[in-house]
Amino acid sequence: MKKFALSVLILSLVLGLGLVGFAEEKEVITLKVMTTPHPGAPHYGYLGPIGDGTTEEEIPEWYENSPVVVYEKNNPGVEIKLDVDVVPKSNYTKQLYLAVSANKKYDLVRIDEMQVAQLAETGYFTPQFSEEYKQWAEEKGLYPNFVDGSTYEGDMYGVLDRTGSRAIWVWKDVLHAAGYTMEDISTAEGLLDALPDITKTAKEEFDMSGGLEYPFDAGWVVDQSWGWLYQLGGSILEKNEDGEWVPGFNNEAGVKTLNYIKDLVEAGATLQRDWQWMLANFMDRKYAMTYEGSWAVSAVTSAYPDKSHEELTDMVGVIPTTVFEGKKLRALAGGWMWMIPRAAPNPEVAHDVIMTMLNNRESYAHMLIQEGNLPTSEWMFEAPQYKSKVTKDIPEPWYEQFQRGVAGGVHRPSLATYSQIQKAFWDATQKVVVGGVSAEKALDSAANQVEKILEG
Amino acid sequence: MHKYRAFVPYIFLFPALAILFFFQFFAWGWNINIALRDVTIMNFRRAWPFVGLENFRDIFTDPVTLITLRNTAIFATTGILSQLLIGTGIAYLLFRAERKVENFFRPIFIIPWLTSVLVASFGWRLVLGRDTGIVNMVISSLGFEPISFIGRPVTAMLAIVIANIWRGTPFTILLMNSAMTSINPQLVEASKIDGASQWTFYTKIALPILKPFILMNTILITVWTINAYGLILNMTGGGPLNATRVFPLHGYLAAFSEGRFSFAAGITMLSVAMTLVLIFFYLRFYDVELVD
Repeated sequence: MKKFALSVLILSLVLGLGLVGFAEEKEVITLKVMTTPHPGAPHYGYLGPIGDGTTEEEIPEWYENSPVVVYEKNNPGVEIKLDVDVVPKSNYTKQLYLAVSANKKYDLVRIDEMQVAQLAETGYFTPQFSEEYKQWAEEKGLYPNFVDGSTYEGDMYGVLDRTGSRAIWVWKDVLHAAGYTMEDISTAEGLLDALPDITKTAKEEFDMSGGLEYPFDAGWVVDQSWGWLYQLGGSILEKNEDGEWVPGFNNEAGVKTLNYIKDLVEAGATLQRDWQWMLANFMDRKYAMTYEGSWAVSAVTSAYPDKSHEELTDMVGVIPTTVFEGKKLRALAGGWMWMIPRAAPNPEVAHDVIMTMLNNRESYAHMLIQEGNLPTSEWMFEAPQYKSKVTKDIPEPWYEQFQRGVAGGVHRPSLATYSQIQKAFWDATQKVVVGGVSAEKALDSAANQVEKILEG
Repeated sequence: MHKYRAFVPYIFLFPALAILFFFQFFAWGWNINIALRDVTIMNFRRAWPFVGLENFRDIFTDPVTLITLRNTAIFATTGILSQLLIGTGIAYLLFRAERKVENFFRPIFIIPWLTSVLVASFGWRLVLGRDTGIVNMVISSLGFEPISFIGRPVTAMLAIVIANIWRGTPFTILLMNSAMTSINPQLVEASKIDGASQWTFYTKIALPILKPFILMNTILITVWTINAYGLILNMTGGGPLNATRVFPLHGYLAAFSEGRFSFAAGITMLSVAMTLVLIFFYLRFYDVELVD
């Protein structure tokens, strides 16, 4: 009897432990991620929970739609832990280079469109999911600009899933007091004609510092003028008859583009090197107009929480950029994407998590809203899961303008030496605008420099 | 056992020498290696072809290099001379001041030197900002148009020179004030008894005593000024129109904005060579026996 009781006890212990073990058996996968700071939720990235969960901060509700949580729901046997290195934007390129040179084993790295080609060329990132990305882009109607921007030598390295629209923000009371409407200043020529009057009115009647502040030298504005260049039929690089890259800006379009910026300054635009303060300046009503982007929405709406959307749009106007008469809107639109290193310990899972987000409009919308970015396809712009939520915060007339800006976007050339090419054109811009050099001469010099860079 | 005693000091020295060797010479050797090869972020994970002195040829044929050398000359000359003159002047005033006054002002003068580069550069951007700066508030209140100090080539250079002088001068004050305090009061008394004029005292007695301190100070502020690219990076980023892009910053941006590591390594080597030439020149100019 004793033996029997002992046997039953041992058997139940073994069975019990086995069942407990079985119940808790989940594959735990740690995804190592490198990204920029996330303004929406500093401790909880939109991808999913970060850290060991010991933070005292309450997990927000929106978290339910984060890609990792959705992925875990779809794959009950898997538990994802996120180990995230958050690197400030100002230091991001340096840390990226260090990651590449040390072959760091990240599963996911957040990449700016302008660096895709250079980083793809390093061989650090894998193009192994290129076909899936291409298929997704085709199915969902990713704007062609973003397909090209994420492709290097025929391979798509990720999906440019979020972007921002450049935008001119306008205090309408000043504009109207100067005798103009939003329509008047929506053309390149119209803004130039109106600018002296707007500047005068802003200074004399509204005690402002100026009419229009134009950002100069900020990382994100170095190639701002390219929209105008493309509108006028130019480009940064084009392929010649032999299929080789050559400068596409040393022509009439390039000259007109650089002279346009110079003319804006001569007409009263203030070159703003303190670009970090531009939005604050605008909100403090120091300028009638500012050249910012869609990311400025929250600054405007949060400054006037009691105003309805109608009141806000009566007060502040938005246009993506000015368009030369008879030309089509083109504005620079880059973006951000996730790329997967070859050394990633879990490339398949990393890819699946990102695709979970891209295929699930709730999750995708959640990411865009948290990041304060715009989508890169009409499929998402028109998605009720996104549009209905985002237009609670963004007045619809502004939203439509942003969509126009994104749809008319131009991407940066997908070339590994892009950063040097960009600098050559930017030097030419500065020479014309503040250096007193003629546009023809500056562009000749820039084209020579670019040719040398292209020769390697 | 006795015969091994001679090796004991070397055994104790070995860890320190090994660390020194690793952090100084190995790093330098590695830098030279990179400067003689073609290493960019694109080929970092592949073979690094040996290119000899090609990177140096690229540096000197790069149109921006000459501009950066000119900027470095302006920035370093004005910065070093101003720090020396202003710092020594204030040190002298403190030396002649009453003890209470000296004790009050000395810690205050040191504050800029203790301020981090990031805070200092941000602070100066705030002070000189076109729409947010205190200086422009004064200018506007006087009825003038605000000035974009960091938006124009000449004023941008002026802005970084002033910021660097502000940050670097306290070291000269501290060092020269201590050096002046070290002059034996009996010497002062003796020179007075011997009927030496103030001029004679300063030139024939004080200056020779202070010379090694001035030399050391000049060397240190030269090294710091030439390498003060962090302040410039945060204040102007090297612009506008490369007007504040100094030589070391040119290297930093080549490496960490464009991924051209060999080009940057070449610039680093040339920067050090430039500093060594200056130090050699100082040693000849000051004619000081540093080792008796």
